[in-house]
Amino acid sequence: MDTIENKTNKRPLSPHLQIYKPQITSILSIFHRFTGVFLAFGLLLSVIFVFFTAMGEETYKWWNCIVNSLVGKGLLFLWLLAIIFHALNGVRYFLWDNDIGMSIPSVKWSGLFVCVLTLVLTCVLGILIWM
Amino acid sequence: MKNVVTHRKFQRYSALAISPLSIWIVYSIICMKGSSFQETYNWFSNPFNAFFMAAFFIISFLHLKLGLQIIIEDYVHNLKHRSLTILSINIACYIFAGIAIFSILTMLF
Repeated sequence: MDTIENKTNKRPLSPHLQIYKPQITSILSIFHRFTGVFLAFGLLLSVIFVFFTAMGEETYKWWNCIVNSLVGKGLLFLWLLAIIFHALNGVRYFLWDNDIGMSIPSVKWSGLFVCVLTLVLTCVLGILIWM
Repeated sequence: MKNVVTHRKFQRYSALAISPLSIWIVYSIICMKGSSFQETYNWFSNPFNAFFMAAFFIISFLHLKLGLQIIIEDYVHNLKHRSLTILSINIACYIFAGIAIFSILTMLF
């Protein structure tokens, strides 16, 4: 027995993303994971950046060209958005761990608050970094 | 990390540790924008910066490893593939964290 799959009747396995009704709670939970995976790739690239800086001026300049290209800037902006969202939504998990804000209305309001604050902070920091 | 409670605790503690470090890094990026190679290199050779960068990478890779493990456990249902995927993620995390520490030490000394 090396698989959990139900072979006799093909029932869907949890998490039931296909049949789950989209709500702000579920969407933000999925987005939290999605940004987490996205940030994992960002962490790998930042390791490469540190490595290239350590290797000398030539590799550093080569890397700088990529970062300053339009694609590089776009990706960096998305990473900024992702890290801010992941951090702010993480605060919600901390509060829930301490049994704060667990009621349905407050879960919805805090979710909405996280979305708005993410957009505002991303724009402000984006301007500070690229303007 | 076999124990689920330990796993969860480390996930939360590492998150707590990363948040101030990330704020510091974003602040540093804003301060350092448009800086030359020498300025960037000098920033890394400062022991304070080197220490906190190393801490950031180590804790972030721990957080990444634990977080991806949960996702793999949720979506990869074949147990053989599951453990193989988690093992390869762990190895990749150690390798990349090693590269980061090596680079930081190179610039420090």
